[in-house]
This record gives sequence, C-alpha cells and structure tokens, in this order.
Amino acid sequence: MNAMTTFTIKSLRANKVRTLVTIAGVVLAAALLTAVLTSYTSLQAMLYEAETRMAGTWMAEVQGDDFDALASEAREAQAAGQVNDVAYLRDAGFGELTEQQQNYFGRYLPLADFSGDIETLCSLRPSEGRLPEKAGEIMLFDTWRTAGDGVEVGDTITVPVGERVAVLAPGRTGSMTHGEVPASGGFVGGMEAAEDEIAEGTVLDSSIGYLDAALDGGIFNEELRVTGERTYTVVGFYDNIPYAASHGFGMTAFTCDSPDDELTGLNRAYVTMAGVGSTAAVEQRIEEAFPDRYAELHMGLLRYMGVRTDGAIWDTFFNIAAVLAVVIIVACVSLIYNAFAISVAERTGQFGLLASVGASRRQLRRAVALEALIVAAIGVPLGLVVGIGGCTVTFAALGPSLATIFGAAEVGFNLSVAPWALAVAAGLTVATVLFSVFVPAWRASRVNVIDALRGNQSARASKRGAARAARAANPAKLWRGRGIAGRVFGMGGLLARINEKRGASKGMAASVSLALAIVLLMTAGSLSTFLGTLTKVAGGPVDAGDVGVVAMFSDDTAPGGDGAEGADAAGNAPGAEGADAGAADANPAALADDGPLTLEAVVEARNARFAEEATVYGKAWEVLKTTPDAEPVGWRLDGGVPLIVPEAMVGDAFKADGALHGGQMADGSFAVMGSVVYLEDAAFDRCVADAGLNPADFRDPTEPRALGVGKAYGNNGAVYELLDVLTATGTVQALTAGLYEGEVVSGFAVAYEADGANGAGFGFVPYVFEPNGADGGMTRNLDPADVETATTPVEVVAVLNEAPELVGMYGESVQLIVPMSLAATHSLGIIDPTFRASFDAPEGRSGEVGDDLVNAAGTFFHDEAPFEVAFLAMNDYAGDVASNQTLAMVVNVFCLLFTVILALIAMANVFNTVTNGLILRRREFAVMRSVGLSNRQFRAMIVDECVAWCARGLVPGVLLSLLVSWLLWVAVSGSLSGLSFMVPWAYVALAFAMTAAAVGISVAYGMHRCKADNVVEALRMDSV
Amino acid sequence: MDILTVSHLTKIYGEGEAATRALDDVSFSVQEGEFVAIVGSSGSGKSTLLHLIGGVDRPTSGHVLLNGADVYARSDEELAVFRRREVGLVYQFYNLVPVLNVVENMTLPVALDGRTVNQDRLGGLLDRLGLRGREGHLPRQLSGGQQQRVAIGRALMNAPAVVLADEPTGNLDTANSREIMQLLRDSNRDFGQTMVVITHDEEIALAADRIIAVEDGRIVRDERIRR
Repeated sequence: MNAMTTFTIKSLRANKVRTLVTIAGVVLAAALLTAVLTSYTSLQAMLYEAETRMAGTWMAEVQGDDFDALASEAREAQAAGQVNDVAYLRDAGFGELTEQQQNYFGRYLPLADFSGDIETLCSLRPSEGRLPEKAGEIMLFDTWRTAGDGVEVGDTITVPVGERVAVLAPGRTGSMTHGEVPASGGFVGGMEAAEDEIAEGTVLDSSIGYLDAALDGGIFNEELRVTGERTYTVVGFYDNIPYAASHGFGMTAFTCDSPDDELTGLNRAYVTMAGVGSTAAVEQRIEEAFPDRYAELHMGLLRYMGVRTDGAIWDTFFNIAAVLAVVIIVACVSLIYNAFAISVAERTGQFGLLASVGASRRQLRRAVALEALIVAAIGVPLGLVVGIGGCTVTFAALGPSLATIFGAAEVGFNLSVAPWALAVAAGLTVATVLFSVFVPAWRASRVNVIDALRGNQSARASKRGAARAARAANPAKLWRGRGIAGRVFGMGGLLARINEKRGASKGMAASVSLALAIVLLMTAGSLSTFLGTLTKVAGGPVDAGDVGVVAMFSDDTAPGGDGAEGADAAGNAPGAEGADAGAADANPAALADDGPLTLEAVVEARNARFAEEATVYGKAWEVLKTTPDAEPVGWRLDGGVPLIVPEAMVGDAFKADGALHGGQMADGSFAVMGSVVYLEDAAFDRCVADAGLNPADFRDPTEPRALGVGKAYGNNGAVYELLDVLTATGTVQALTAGLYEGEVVSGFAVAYEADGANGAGFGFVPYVFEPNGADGGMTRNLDPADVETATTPVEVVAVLNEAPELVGMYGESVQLIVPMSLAATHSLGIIDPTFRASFDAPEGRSGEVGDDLVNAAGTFFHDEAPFEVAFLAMNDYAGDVASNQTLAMVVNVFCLLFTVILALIAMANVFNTVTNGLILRRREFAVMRSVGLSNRQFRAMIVDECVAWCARGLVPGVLLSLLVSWLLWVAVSGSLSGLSFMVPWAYVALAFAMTAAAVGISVAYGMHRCKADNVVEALRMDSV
Repeated sequence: MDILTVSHLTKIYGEGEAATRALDDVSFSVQEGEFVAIVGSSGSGKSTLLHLIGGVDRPTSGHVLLNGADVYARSDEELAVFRRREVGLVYQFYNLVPVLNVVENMTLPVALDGRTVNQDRLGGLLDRLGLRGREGHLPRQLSGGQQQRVAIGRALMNAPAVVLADEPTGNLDTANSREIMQLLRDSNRDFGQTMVVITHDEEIALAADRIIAVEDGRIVRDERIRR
C-alpha cells in the first residue's frame, strides 16, 4: 500500500461523519436506480408471465394446408435450431349444434386435433379433468359443464360433423377472395390465403370468420354440410380463452390422434424460438424456416419479452422510468458531488501539505479518486441490496393490487431481478460517483501550496468582485449603497450583499441544491398529479347503488347507429353524445297518411311513444324489484335534449373556450346539448322537498317544471373537474321537433358557426339520417333557416347545488330533473330514453346480482315489450369502485414513496450545502466577530445571504421543474389522451415551504456550529 | 493611570483529566500609552491572555478591567460593541475579510458600529501605513506586509483603548517585520496608543517599554526597560 492510499484511507476514517454521509448518498443513489429498474423488469416479467398464462408461449403461428409439408419444415427448422418447440392444431371439422346449444356455445363446435405441448405453447390447460390422450377423447370449453343439459368428465357426446360451405346470399352473385371477406368476429385468413377465391360451394376453413351477408355486408352466407357423426368421450374442460381456442363461431373442442380422413382444412404450427432480439428477427427466422407460409406473430408476448418495444403503453412506462432515472441521477450527482466537493474544500490545507512534501498533482487526483472508489465499493453493493429489499417490501404490500390492475392477478406481481438491471444500476452509480468526484479531484490537484499552508485558501473574491471592490474605495461610496437589504438587515445585510456581489462561489452550491430540491419535489408532484388525475378521470361520475341496469329501445324505422349510441348513453352520463337527441322520428310514415305532416303531429307522436315506453319501463322496474338479493334504489329515464338557455342562467362552464356541449348564440342566449332526467315520482318529490319546494307545483302537465343541477363534469382547460353550468332559475326552451320540407328532422347538433344566419356563434344544426349519403356519413345537415322548429318551455324552479344521487350525481352538461309523471304528456323531444335502474347488492355479489337483473330484464322486454331492445346492459358500480380504489391506492402509495424519497434527497442536499457553506467560512465569521460583529448583525447577515440563495435557486428551479413536469406529461399523455398539462401548484407551495424549512434548519445548525466555535479557535484554526 | 488591569485571570480548557490550565492566576496592569511586549514559548498561554483581554474569549475565573469597566460583566452583544470600540486586534495571519477592500477592512469596526467614517483619520492612517493607492485592493491583491498593515489600520481606526497584536510579524520577512514594528512603535509614540504585543522575537521585544514573560500560564518575569 503506497503512501497516498494510506493517506486516503486514514482521511476517510478521520472524517467518519462525512464518509458516512457520502456513502449514504451512494447507497441511496444505487438503491433508487435499482428500485426503478427492478420495478420495470418486474412489471415486464409479470406481464410476460400473464401473457404466457393467457395465450401461451408461442412466438409465431405458421399456417398451411398440407400438414406433412408443414411438419417436415418444422422438423428441419428444429434440427437447424431455428425454432425450439412446436405444437400443432389441425382443423378436424365443425360440429353441428342444436338451436338451443347455439345460444350457449356459438354457431358450431369447431374441432381441433392437437399434438405437441399445447399446455405451454398455447395455454390450453384443462381446468378440470385432463387433456385428451387418445383418439375419441375430447376437451370442451367450460360452459359445456353448466349450460343446457350439462356435461361431465366421463360423459360421451355425439355430434354431427361436417364442413362449412359458402352459399351466395339471396339475390347476390359473384365471388370474393379471402382478403375481401369481412371479418365478422373470427380472424380472417392470412396473406397466402388472401388471394384464394371463395365462390358458391367453397369449403371454408377455420381461418374464415362466420359469413352472414346481412351482418357483414358481404355477398355470402354459409351453411354446414354434415358428412357424418362422431362420438367423443369428454375427458376435460378448459376455462381460459387463449388465442388458439377462440373463433368467431364458437369455442374450439380439442381432440387428438384423429384419423386422417377427419383432418381437413387448415393446419397451424405454434413455434417458440431462442435468441431473437426483435420482431424483424422473428419474422426473418420464420421466413427462413417456413418459406412463403403465412405466419402470425404473438405480438403481446414479444412485447413483454422486450423483443418488441413499440406500443404506446410500453412507451409510457419506459418514458416515465427514463424521466425518473434522469431525475434520480441528477439528484444523486448533486448529493455526492457536494459531499466530495466539501470534503476536498475542507481539506485544502491537507492537500497543500501533501503537495509541499512532494505529492504530484496526479497523486492528489488519484487520492480523491481512490476515496471515491472506496466509497463506491462500499455504497454500491449496499445500495443494490437496499433497493432490492425496498422493492421486495413494496411489492409484497402492493403486488396483489398491482397485479389486479394489470389483469394478471393469477400470476401476481413478483420481484424479478434482472442481472442487467443490477449491472446498469451499479454502473450508473459508479459513473455518478466518478463524475461527482472529477471536479473536486481536479481542484484538489490545483491547490496552491503556499496559500494552503498559510490558510489563505479562502481567496474567495471573484475577478469582477475585485473591480467592484476597487470602485467602492472612493470615500464617498464607502459603506454606501445599502439598498433594501441594508435597510432591512442593517450592516449585516450590507456585508451579505458585498459577499454576494464580490464572492467567487456566491453560495452556488446552496442555490443549485435549492433549485434541485424544487425540481425533485415538483417532479414528484407532477407525477402524482398526473397519475391522480388519470385515476380520477378513470373513476368518473359514480351512479347510485351497487349495480345498475341500463336499457334502451330502438326505433326500427331509424336505420343504423342505435346500438352504438346506446352504448355511449350507457357508458357515460346522459347528453354525452350530441347526436343522441331526437335520435329518430316517430313513425313518420304513419303520420304522413293523415295528410301533410305538422309539427304538432310530430310532437304528439313523440309524446305518445315516450309515454308508452315509460309505462313499459315502469312495469320492468316492478319486475326487477322482485329479483332476489337486489335491493331496489330507484329508476329513471333520461335522454339528450337540445336546450336554449338564457344567458342569465348559464355558468362559467359554457363561457370558457372549448366549452362543453354548447356555447353562446348570436342572439346572446346559449345553445346547449343538455339532458333531461325523468325521476320516479317518489324520489323526485324527496328532492323537491329537500329544496324546500312543494312537489305539487311540478305536477301541472301544461307547464313543465324542472329542477336544474348546478354543476357538471368538464375539462376547464386544465383538469377534468366540476364546473358551474347553471347558476340561476329561469325558463329554458327544449327543441322538441323540427320539420324540413315536410320531412321530420332527425335531430339537432350544437355547433359553432363562424357565419351563421345571425352572425358568428353557437347554434343548432338540424340533420336527418341518411345512411348512404353522398358524403359517406350517416347524416345530412340541413340549413336551420329552412327548418320549422317546435319548442317547449321548461321552467327551472330551483338550481340544486348537487344532483341527487339517483340522478347519477353529475352529468357533463345542463341537467334538468322532472317527475316521471310528466312522461305521460311530455317527451321534451326525447324519442328513445335510456332506462336506468339502480340496486344495492350484498357485498362482493354485485356482479352476480347484476347478471340476474339483466337476465330478468331481457326476459321481460322480450316477452312483454312492444319495442325492440337496442341496448341492455348491467353496470357493476360496486366492482368498479373497488377496482378504482385499488388503483388509487397503488398510485397514492407509489407517489408517496417517491415523494418522500426525493424529498429526503433534496433536503439532505440542501442541508449539506448550506451548513457546509457556513462552516467553511467560520474563520471569516470569527474575524468579523473579533472586530465587533454582534450576534444580531451576524444573524442578519446570514439570513440575508439565505434569502439571496433562495431567490437564485428558486427561479431556475421552478423553470427546470416546469420542464420536467412537461416531459412527464408528454410521457403520460402518450398513451392516455385527454390529460391537460398542468402545474402542480400545491406541490410548488410544498416545495417552497420544505426548502425554506430545510434552509432554516440548515442555517440554524450552521450558525450554531459557527457560534459554538470559540472565536479564538476559529481564528487560529490551523489549515493543516 | 492604569488603563488595563488583569487580576487573578485563570483559563482552563477541557475538563477532568484532559483539563489544561492555559492561564493560571495571572495579574498585572498596563498604563495608558504603555507599549508592552508579552514573550514566551509556544503554548505558554500568551495568546490566551491576549484573547481574554480582547474580549473574544471568556475566562474561567478572574477579571479584566479596561478603562475601569469589567470586560466580562458584559453580555455577548455588549461584548461585540466593546470589541468594536475599545480593542484593536492584529493577528499573525492578518485575518482580513477576503471580499472587502483595504478601506472597507480598515473601517469595518466603525461601520459595524453604525458610525460615519472619519475620512481624515482614515486618510492619515492610509498615508502612515503606506497604503495610498491601494484603497480598493482586495486582500489577495496585497503582499503579506501590506495585509498586515491593513490589519493594523483596522486596529487603529477606532482609536481603541488598547491595541492587541498576536505575533504581528510572525509571518513576515525581516524587512517587513521591522517596518511593522516601527509602525506599531510610531502609533504608540505619536497617538499615545496603548499596545500589547505578543512576540517571541527578542529584538522586537526590546523595542517595548516593558516585557512580560509568560511560561506555563504564569508570569515569570515583568520588567520595564529604561531607555
């Protein structure tokens, strides 16, 4: 061991506290990097694991008609090492199902003959029983156990089996290629097959989805040509739905060792391979091994293997991890750099001494570098251990929730430590340490021997400082120019100002660490704000009750669109879709018989239909109430209604740019796509009574009266939140019908028009449905000037602060609430309202109860309703809330951990730099005190300096943190749109408060240390 | 008239077995205008004595009376004021504030006291100290001798009751040492400035009116030099 090494080790030992602080910094850096990378690899491993469980480990699927050729290519590829494992699935005909069975199992029972390890490769695992082992055995999808007559392991089933044949639809002629076949559920055959022609009588293999010209718009239907009957012994069931088992026409049944004559159609080989690094490499290898064959890649799996790195969600994770890693590295560089810089600065004298006895600059640099390496050698392994330990603990606590969120509950979120991640974490930390030590080492080697020995090293004035000092010597200027600081802080402030103006370092380290503290805290803040907003938006408005049944009837005279709109209406609050309102006209043909169509007649017809639907739904409600375990909460009907709202009633929500569902018209009033909720009378009366009004006032059928909801959800340009929509009572006009040249207007859209009839502004644009319109759209807009419009005044008697729970809390626009009794006379322009019934369910059983309710509703509507059901669904609010809460908890815990860790780094850094900045100057302070600087003046000086550091640190800190926030926002919004960029002001305030507190504590400690120092000792303070 | 009286001054550093008796029951007095040299080997306690007189340290026991007032009866704040007005300190390593220029360093005690700088006195001192033309220089732009002259200027600026100098020439070459000594001697003679100077340079000591020798925290010799 040479002298310098000995010296280094001795000085590390001598400065125990500093050494420990430095090592702690390195440990923290390594631990954080390890944690970030390990979280990343663990997530990847979980998703990979989940994908293999769900879909199998196959990486590519190769198709071919000739099995022997395919198999021999596969064998050669295996021998050549191009592929590892191979499993085969071969079409073995399609079983015919009875009409009842079709309700449960789909159009056919597709049969597939397997060979190879399909459990691993295709994730075809029996959930009960076992896989078939010999000819005549079969594994069925799980629903066979329970549906219909029920089948058990050991039973035999006999099915007519045949081949699917294309049949031209009535009135159609010609042929199609595979590529042209509309994908009607199943997946369409591949490129090779794409050019094959399908004509009348073509036998269809399993790669072609179910052909139904009426549904898919093609020219073919299909039928099953039964060729024989087969009997199988059921040996097992499977209950997951992997890629290999799902077809548009039914869940596949698996058998094996079938006779060759039963194996007709398509053959599929599922292969795995090793040593491929990209999607292109997988494709290339498949092309080499199976020339000219159609292949599908298992993209989901390849992504999680890291072979495929595109895909928005993955980019988001990677971007977030990258931003966090950069922030962490910067934080740690700062922490470690400061520790070393201060360590070197404190020992300048020592280095001078060493230089004076002949140490070369190289040796001095090496001494510091060696110190760094020793610190790294201790800190890095410790950091890796701490990081992995931290992940283990965190994952143990959050793992199940995380796994649930990512849909991988079965797999679980387990720690997955990748050697490359550890290597990267260690490498980055060592690089951080070396980088941190570079400047101090260089500085150490430049120490002037004489100055160092004389204790003159603190030649702190800068060149500009010297020029300033020269100017200040003028007697007239002596001790002048105190400025504000001088007035507030007196002589101490003046000294601080001089120090700031002339000093070389200007408390740079302190300012930088302050800036960094702001950046770190705001990074944490941005992250939690963005993620928090996401979970909030994901949560959305919550409806009353644990489960809800949503239904809508369709007007069979209105072509197209109903189903989609129903889905929208059910998924969102009412009024979300402008096109919903007045979705279709009520039987215009019937009306037209009685002479020319009048607006009154249209309105009357709509009212009549609405009243009838309301009656049916009322009966449905009575029926649903009898469902076991379903505790009735209430029901309502709602629909979108175009409203003209006087300016005096409208809240800010419609006045902002990019307002929701409406805006100001040229005449000053507002065009709004609102919604009307018909609430069952009892519940409505309770709301009215709560508002201090008389329910009887709302019963007059000639004068519709409503309650208005004051707030609605919307995007205020920054966040998705509650906004004021209605602020005052008054009378609004509902557009109930429109006539255009004797034609009934289908609906009104609210749109901004730069050159409307009355000038620029919002307005109502009437439209009619036109499925095969010239422009390809579904509707044709009409000139408002040519349209005759009927309106109904609705008096808003009171504006509720908050919507009643049964109304779904908040919508996204103006919401009016009227009693259900009004449905008998007024549709207010709504044609097919959405029916929403809410129920409570025993805890944990909301899903089941919801299913029961939907079934009961389906049966009732089928048997009793004179309308066609466009949409019927159930909403499991209780289940959604539970999963939202889980997500919110995970996000919160993650953000909290991250914030706490970053705050610790930031505060440690501020403390380190500020206290050391003071302690390094204690000789200077002692001089001042020895010539009469009082404690009060001393404090004033330090406080003034701190204010200056803060001011210098905060501005760049805030700017930099805005940049980091923006980068994070870019990363997050990459996969999730609708998130506006916003500054987390609460965290800005928190950051300011915390840094101010840290500075305060540091200064107090630093001053305590300086004062505790005996002036005598400080003055004498030998530099060596 | 006695301007400075030190009575039974004792200073113990540390506690228990580690306790070091830096000063042990030291008593003497200094007359106004006197030039006293304190000599002794290193560690004899002479610097401790000087700091106790200067009000930058507190004694374990005993009293220091300057201008008839007990130095250590004052609070810390009062002590700071005392140091500004009544004492001028000169150190071996100059101890100038690095960011302040020559005149600012010299007038720092006046400024700390919130008083206006007496430009005549400042000008006179600059001339006498040979610092004319260097008023705006920062300490690092000056030689060691010049820095020490600034320190002396700072000590004299307030016309304190006593100037205390701790090895003022210890860091200087012979020529500079002589010059500094001459400056101290001259200010003593011309302004009647009371001086207490620590040195172990016999030649310098011999320029004083009186030599007090300290060994192991005690006064072992106290003699007036007759000229």
